[in-house]
Amino acid sequence: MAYVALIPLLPAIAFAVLTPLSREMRNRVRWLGLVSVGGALALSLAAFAAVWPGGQEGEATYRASVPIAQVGGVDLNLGILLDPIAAIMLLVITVVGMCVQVYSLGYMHRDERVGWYFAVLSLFTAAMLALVLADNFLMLYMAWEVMGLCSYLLIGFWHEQEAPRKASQKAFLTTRVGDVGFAIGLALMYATVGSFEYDAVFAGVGQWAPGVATAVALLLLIGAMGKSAQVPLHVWLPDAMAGPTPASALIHAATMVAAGVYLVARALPIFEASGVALTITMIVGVTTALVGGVIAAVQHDIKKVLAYSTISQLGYMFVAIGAGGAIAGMFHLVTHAFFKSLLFLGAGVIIHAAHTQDMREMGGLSKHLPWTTVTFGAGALALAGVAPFSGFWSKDEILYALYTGEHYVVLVLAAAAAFVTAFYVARLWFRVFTGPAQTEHLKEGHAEMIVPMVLLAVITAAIGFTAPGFSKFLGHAGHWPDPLIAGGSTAVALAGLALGWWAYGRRSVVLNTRSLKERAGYAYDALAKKLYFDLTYEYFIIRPYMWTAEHLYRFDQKVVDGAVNGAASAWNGLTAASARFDLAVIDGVVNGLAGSARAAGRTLRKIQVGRVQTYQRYILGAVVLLMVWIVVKGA
Amino acid sequence: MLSGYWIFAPEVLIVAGAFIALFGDLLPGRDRTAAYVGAAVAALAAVLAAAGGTAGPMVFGQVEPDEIARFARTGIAALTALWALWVAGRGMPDERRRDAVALAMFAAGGGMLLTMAEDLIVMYIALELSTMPAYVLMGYRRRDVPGLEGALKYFLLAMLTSIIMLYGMSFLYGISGSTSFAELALEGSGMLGVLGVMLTLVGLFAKMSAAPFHYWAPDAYAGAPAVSVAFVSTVPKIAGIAVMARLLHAVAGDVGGLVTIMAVVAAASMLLGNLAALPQSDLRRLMAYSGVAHTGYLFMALAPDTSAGYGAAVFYTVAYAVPSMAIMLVAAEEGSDLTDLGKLASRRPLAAWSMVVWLVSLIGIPPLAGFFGKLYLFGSALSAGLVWLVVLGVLTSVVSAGYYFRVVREMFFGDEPAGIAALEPAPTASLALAIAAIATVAIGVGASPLLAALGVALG
Amino acid sequence: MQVGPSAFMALAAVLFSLGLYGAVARKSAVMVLMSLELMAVAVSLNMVALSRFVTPTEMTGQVFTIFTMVVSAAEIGLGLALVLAIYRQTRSIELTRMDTLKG
Repeated sequence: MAYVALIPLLPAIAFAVLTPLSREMRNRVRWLGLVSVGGALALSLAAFAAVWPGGQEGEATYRASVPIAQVGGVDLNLGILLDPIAAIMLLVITVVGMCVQVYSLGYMHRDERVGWYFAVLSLFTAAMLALVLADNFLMLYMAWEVMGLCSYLLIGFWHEQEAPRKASQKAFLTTRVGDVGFAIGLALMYATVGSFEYDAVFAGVGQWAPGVATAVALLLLIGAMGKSAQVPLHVWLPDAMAGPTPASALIHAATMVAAGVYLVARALPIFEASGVALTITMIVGVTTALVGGVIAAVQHDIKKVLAYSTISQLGYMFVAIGAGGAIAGMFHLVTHAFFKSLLFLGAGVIIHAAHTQDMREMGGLSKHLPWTTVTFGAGALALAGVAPFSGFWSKDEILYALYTGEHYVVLVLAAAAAFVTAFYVARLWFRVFTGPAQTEHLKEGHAEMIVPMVLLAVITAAIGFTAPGFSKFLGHAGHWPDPLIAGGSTAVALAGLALGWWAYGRRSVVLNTRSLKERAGYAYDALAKKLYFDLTYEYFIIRPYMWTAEHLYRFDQKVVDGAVNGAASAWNGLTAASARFDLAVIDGVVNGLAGSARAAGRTLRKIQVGRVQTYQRYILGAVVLLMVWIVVKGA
Repeated sequence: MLSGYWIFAPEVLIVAGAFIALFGDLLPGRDRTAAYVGAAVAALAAVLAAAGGTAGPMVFGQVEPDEIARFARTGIAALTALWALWVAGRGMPDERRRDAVALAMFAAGGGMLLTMAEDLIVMYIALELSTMPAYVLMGYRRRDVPGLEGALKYFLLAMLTSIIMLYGMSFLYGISGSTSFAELALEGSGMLGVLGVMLTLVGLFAKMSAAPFHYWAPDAYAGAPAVSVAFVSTVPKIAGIAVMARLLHAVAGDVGGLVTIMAVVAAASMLLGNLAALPQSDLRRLMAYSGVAHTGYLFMALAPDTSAGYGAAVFYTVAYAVPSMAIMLVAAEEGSDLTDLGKLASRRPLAAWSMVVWLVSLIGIPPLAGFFGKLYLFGSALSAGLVWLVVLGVLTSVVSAGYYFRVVREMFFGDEPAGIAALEPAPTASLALAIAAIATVAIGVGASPLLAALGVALG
Repeated sequence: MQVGPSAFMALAAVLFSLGLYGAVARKSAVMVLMSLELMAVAVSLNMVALSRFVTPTEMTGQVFTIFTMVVSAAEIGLGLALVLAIYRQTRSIELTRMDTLKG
């Protein structure tokens, strides 16, 4: 079983081989990354087969460790722990990683630093694999930091431009805020237990001093919130979209951002010992799920829609873990990894074809990009939670966990988030794929881009049916969807899609009539388009409304009016507030902290006046203070 | 294993090497040969110090070459060798290599003696022996007014604090009737004993540039040639930490409140060093404040009187000294202003990436030396219950990422400085930098056996 | 009248404080060096007196004093050389003017 250690080592070796090469050489042998991840995938399959059929929670199939250091007589180990949860994560990472690597061959083939891109991608894969295989928190933390570095490098990959550079720094600093919490949590854990190993930490978690478990859990949660972009540390993720799209698919959708969820799932005994921490996790999750979804509904940049969607879905996973449904959360992590990376890869093809990321400048792509349309459709339906696509199953399990845990308020909020999700999925779909094409020469992606997408689409379509098996593999009772919850969630999803169609699909119907009239020979300009829109608006909304109004009592009119306006302004207010909160408060706090540190630095440097005798006086003052302290303390 | 007085072979070699270098005029190849000889002798001394083993108290109990001393002596000699190797390749300002190498080796000899000191007199002499050459190195350009000004400030402040230290020592002697660390009997001595210890520590605080006794460092560094800063900011610090560990261990049992003072000084140093480094644009000044901050981290482990803490501190001084020296050596090649490093990555990719390794190690990101060093420092402070100090340490090390990353940004995204002449190739200097880069990784990877060699009650 | 060690220590303390004041207050670099020397003398006095009273049979304090005197003589020489080098360039030894390095 020692081959398990090779799984993270292979991509690490690829990185080590690629890095010292010259740029031309590195570009030429970029397939090394692909080969190493392929090898890791094969070994992961073998590892998965070895763990099969699983069933025992927390039982390791394989363990090995090497001591690297000692602190206070206790060994610090680099250790490997292969158990069912790790085996699943290995497969997810290597499959998605493989797909992204193949896809990148097509997507990045014209970039002059493509070799470096593949090297960093390999290093990232190695770090993420090491993270899920770690048998102690320290190694997890080390891999975590390496991933942060890779993320920084990939976001800032096109560092000649201003935006990626700024975004990479923002990402690094924001996640760093979370990492500080993580590090302090680890220190506290170590001070309490004297070990970082999962077993040793969890063994005595019940006997910890009151409050310690809560403190450790919350500090770990802060780390997880930074990495997994949870409100209020989510601001870096939308900006991170400045990096190459396939890297976003792997790092900022499928794997790295899910590491926070994985951390909380791994440290679950600490959270359970605390109790309060679980509730807070749930609150953070549901807040994020709603805020992310709402903001996604007003974005115009296709990648930003997907980024906010990722934030929202990660929030969903936190909700699940907080509600006691860790298995459901992990299952959503898995399904989300596949369908969201699929959506990102699809977005990459779309951006390549349309030469823009702005959805307002897209439209009618379905005719020109058939493969992308079908695969993207599968991902979109999964995201919206429509059966039988994977997202339906995992979302259903989360809602079921909330239902059985009797968290009814959160259940309603989660359902609302699901509704918003379906809404923005429809919005994205109708804006991008239907309506008239706004650009000429739309080209489908290369074969090496399409094949991974098809593979991911097949997985997305099929993996949902493994839901009961997934639970059993992790040692829990599996079940098929509860009719009530499944029916409810489907209804919510369909309602969301319908609203999306009503708001965006119908407008495109009108626009299509324009193209009909074009065929009839009429000349149309932008003005006409606007005219038609206004006409539709007039005929379908204003006139019926006026007519109704005339036939209703004044009082009734007021109620309807007030409700409609109230709902509309509440919606607007909510989205605007979220966006403002993002800009003003979070950015403000991050910038403010950095700014005040700089200001403190500027003040402190004034002490250094340059005159030696002033320094002597300072020293004299310090010595006098010391003497005063001695006298006051009294020997 | 060297037995008997042979254990002092490294010190003898270093001083002999210093004399050879001083009279380097007589050697074939003159100036450059003197530097090569210095580097070779120092490297040999490092090997002997590492292989020489340890012993109990020697020379009437005045020195004790124990594990901490062995580690620190090896580190000092090895870094001196590295520095002399670079000087052999690139030279000093004014092309007077032999004086510089001789001075550095005298200072290294003093520092190595200091690490073994078990007596107040030996400690004082060794301290002065390791400091005095440093004044000359700082004012190495004889016609450069800022350099001389910085050197004079360094001199005046160092002299003031070392007299304060002597004053404290006179009390310690008066109380216990002996100058030996082992015979310091301060129990029941009341305030006078505490005062004696504190005044003695003030001298060491100033030497280690711990806030609020650090004022000399930023000004003296900013005036001096970067190559001198490379030596003065690193090697004496190793010796200073080693002797502080000895002295603190000798008095900690008898004098209360040491933990408080050390923790307060550590906190002040971490805060001031890291914050004041943020707005700096001169690499020398930036590294001076970074040095203040790192002294704070080191004191964190010295504060609780534990052998694990002392070992951790000595280990971290070396883990800090290697990248710190290498960064200043690159500054000596490229120029000390941050903008001088603009687009270094496209001019000298290897040097730029090595800089990244060193800076990342100083921030403390795994798996480099700095990460493991900090891990041990924080760990020993934690086991002594100084949680607030560790939290402050973690927070300020986040701040430190701010200014270290500014250097990285300048190297990769900055503007190419105007009118720079291409640097002449100097293979020896490049070799020195390569060794430093490899050592930074190796100290991190080999942290476990190295700490075992430190022999500090790990098991 | 019996003169105890505290009398010598008091005198040393007065000398030390005078030297410290001079080091902090005088403008001329040479005067500051002399003030530092005064402090060193105070320390020597302290040590010799303590040696006489605490360990009358051994000479530890005297030996220590001889070492400090030698070392501080060397140091003062070095300091004067630095002051001289600065004087050659700027024709001034006023410490208050030496503030080009700061921040």
